[in-house]
Amino acid sequence: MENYLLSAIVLIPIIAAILIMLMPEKEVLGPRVMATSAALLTVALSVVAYVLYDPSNARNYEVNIPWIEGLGMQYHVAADGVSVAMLLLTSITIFTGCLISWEIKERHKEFFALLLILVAGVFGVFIAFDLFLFLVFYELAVLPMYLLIGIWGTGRREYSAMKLTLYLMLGSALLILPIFGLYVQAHAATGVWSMDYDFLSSNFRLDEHWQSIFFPMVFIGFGTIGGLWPVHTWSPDGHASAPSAVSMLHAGVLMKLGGYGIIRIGLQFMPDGAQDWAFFFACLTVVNIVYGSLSAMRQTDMKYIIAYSSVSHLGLVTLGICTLSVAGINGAVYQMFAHGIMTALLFALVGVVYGRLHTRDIREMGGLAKIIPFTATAFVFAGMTGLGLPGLSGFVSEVLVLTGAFSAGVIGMPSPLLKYVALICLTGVVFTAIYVLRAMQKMFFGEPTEALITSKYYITLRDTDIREKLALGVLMAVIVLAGAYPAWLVNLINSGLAHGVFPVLGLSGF
Amino acid sequence: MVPLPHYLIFTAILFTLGVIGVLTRRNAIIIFMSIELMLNSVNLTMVTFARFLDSMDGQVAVFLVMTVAAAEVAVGLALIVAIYRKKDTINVDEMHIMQG
Amino acid sequence: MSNELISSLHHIVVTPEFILLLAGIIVLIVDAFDGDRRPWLAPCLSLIAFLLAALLMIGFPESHGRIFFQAYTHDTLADIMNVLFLASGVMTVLSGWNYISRWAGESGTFYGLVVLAVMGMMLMVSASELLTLFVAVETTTIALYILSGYFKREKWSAEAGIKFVILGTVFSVILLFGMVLVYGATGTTVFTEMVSGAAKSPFPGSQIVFFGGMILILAGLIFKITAVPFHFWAPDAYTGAPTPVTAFLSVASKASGFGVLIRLFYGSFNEVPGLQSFLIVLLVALAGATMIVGNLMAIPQKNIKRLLAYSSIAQAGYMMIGLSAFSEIGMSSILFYLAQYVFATFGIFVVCIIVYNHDQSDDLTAYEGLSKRSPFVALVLLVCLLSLAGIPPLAGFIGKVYLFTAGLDKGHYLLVTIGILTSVVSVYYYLLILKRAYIEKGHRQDVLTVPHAERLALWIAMAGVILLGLLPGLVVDRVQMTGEFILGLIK
Repeated sequence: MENYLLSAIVLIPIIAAILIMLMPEKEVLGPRVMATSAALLTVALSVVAYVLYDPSNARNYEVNIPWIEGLGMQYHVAADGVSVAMLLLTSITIFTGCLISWEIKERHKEFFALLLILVAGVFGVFIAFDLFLFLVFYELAVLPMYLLIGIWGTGRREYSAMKLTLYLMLGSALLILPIFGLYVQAHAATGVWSMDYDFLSSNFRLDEHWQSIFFPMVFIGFGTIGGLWPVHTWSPDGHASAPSAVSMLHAGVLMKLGGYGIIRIGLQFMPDGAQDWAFFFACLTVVNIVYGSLSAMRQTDMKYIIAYSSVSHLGLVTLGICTLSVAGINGAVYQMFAHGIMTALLFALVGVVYGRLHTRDIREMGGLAKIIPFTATAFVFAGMTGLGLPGLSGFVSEVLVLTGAFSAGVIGMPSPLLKYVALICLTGVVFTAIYVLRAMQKMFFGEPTEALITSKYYITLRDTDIREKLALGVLMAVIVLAGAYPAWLVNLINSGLAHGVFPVLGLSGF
Repeated sequence: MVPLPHYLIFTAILFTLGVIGVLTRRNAIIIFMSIELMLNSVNLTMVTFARFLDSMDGQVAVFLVMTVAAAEVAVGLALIVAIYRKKDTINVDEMHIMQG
Repeated sequence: MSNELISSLHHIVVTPEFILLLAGIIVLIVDAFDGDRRPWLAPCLSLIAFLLAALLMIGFPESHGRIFFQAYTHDTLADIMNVLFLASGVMTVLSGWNYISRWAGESGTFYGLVVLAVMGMMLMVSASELLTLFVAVETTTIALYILSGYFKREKWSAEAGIKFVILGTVFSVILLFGMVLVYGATGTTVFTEMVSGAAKSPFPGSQIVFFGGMILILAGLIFKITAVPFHFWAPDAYTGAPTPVTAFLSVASKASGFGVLIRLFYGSFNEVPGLQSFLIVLLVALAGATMIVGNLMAIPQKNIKRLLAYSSIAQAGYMMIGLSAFSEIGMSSILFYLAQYVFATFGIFVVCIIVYNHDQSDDLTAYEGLSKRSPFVALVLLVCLLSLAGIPPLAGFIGKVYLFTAGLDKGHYLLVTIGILTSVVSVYYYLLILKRAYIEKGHRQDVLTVPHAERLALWIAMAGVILLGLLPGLVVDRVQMTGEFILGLIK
């Protein structure tokens, strides 16, 4: 029975989406309630999945049904520690995202349906243990974004939506060749057509030459969605144009598919290729971290600031992976979780502020802390997480990743130079502090600006209502939970990696 | 007896003339005549091979091909008439309403 | 009469081809006498004929074999292709139901010709002798000429017809010339005897004549499947032809070309020394060029039929990846791709027909605000376009990766890379259509009405695309059996 837990997590959003589409056009409350309760149900199921999770077992809740027998494709879903952590992240984000988007008025039925289909794809990616199934869910998660941004976005939405979609499609195009190359080469070697993750990883190892051709394709392909410099340029535009729930889901969850995919497919099937390329990509991630935070400093649009900060923070994920060390990879996955929750909180707050003031320019604000204290508190809280205040989740991942980078000289060393790379990354942390503090100061403290006072929305300005408080409160609670007592999460992630990529890389886990 | 290559070269020349006609002429009727030239060069080849291979297949096939070609030209001419009624011309260069 | 002939005649009475031949003639006669009073009779009769033919194939599944002195073959390849032709015949009739009678006046001849064209296509893929093949090709194309010039009072339709006739006839002659050369070089017209005939080499230099003949046959067939370099007729003919005919051309006519290519180069000539390696080089180059040209030329188009014409050129390029693999998986991937292509293409063209019936326009601007005017029609457009673009979980995705697998299996890494990259390009121009349908507001607000025939066609198309995407095993198993059968892996 509990084996079908994961399938239920994927199916619930899809069924809810279909039900929402069947509702009458005039129905206002129905779609919202349906979407939010479906999301809440996935949160509950993810928590159940966490509680019943057995860390000594490599594959929990495994279901393996033949799908396309002639081509060796299976409906193979299972969960390890990494999957469970990502399921928790995704379900919490979609739940809060649904709560935040109750204001959507225009074509709200389609909005919630697309949001749920997107999240079903994301859930699917995290539980798929068949490469073909993985790809199917992956692309299912990418495409609804076009319509979500194109229809409900703001500003240059059509341009941003098209740019985002084409970048992500190009990224997934880069994945097709390695994955199907693996498939046909495994067939040539074993005589079996199979896309099964476990079959391929236990019965076949790519030849070293092919590994070093395929690994960069996988890394850049997933890096595109993971915000890797220089293929990240879709992300600031996309986030700036997207409605807040979509930004939350996108920065919070969808961009995590990148790091997840690199670990699941890149490291698992091309470990030698990873050794060859790790240092090169580590250098790119430095650009990510430093360039991302420098760009964030220059921006005045709240959404651009957060979007660039995402680029910078996600550099930490790829850097962690590139250290090829126990602490580094653990830190990378931890950062995926921590950053997901944090950035969801930030985008939710931007949505709250923008919905009230109809501007996102931080130069036109000021002194908001007195008028909307809860929002301001939550914002400061999220900002502190971003700059890595100890006790909050951002700190843990920074420590883990940098430990990984410094210890890389000891275990599974890609290059001793990695230490210096990590040192440069530390400057990124300083810049982060600068832009976070600057944004907070401009928005919430000091005196209200001229533009703000003359704004017609200023008089009616109200703090968050109970629904928004609930969404923001959940996210803040998770940040504290993961930051003050990181052991539960680290153990969860480590147990997954210890059965997965660590043995392949010759590491042994914590 | 005239050797095989002579026949083949002759029919190849005929075929090429037909192709050139199709490519250079702009009058739809003349284009159809050029196509007939190509067809007949093919027929000639067929008879040649039948003779050299000592089999009747090729000779029978010629009648089949002639019948089929007649049907094809009938449809073509009908369309030419239809377009002449509409446009008062059968010059294929002037048929370009759909360019783009 | 010899025993062979008698048993062949017995056999032919229960073939779908025979049913369709009778039905085609009956439809034409009935229409001539009764067409004005009962215009619904012709489409109904043709639908019944298609269904009867399909039932016959289910009822006599064991009627496989070669008849008429090896000239005609019924096998699993023919079965699958016949199902495809029947499906596209049904879809053509459904999509033409209101469109033809509304814009052409009299409509009975249309259905008769569709039935006869479907029969001709069935003859094409089953023909295993050169002259039979030629007659079958001509039966099909003559019907198609008339169909594409069917709106004889419209300038563009007549123009499409005449362009198609001229170029089609030229390429028929080229095909015939190739056949004659092959006949001369092998001394026989029956496919099964040709390999031994070519080995005997009846006169000095016959090898060169044989290869020349093969190239000409290939040229004739490349014209049919609209691959580069003989793709240039497609945009004009597709744009000018009545929309149901456009759909029929881009699905069934293309499928018949691929059927013949498979029968010739997979089934019969793959043992001729040197031929295959030569063809692989040629087909790989042409496939790459076709995908690039088709996809890039589709981007700037403003007319949806022209855009889809270029997109269908590109689709032919994808299928040529499977063709150039010369393997069992290559062949089954083409068949699977064709199966899903029928649904996706007809879905889109039926949407075009519905929009044209309302707005008299095939311009992309007519699609603005479609999702407001009719959510259902817009949804079908969305699903079918995304399937063509290769987005999971729709059938087109599985079709494409199947073809890519076939290419990678033979080590055609560069070709598959071109295929993947051009797929991304195709996502771009398909999204441009969807952008108009979903994002832009549009100036027309009136609700689109969808008549029953079109509604049925839309449901069939959408169900097919989704079903084949979720449960591709239904078709994959069958096409794999066919692949093994044609390549002689099972006798």
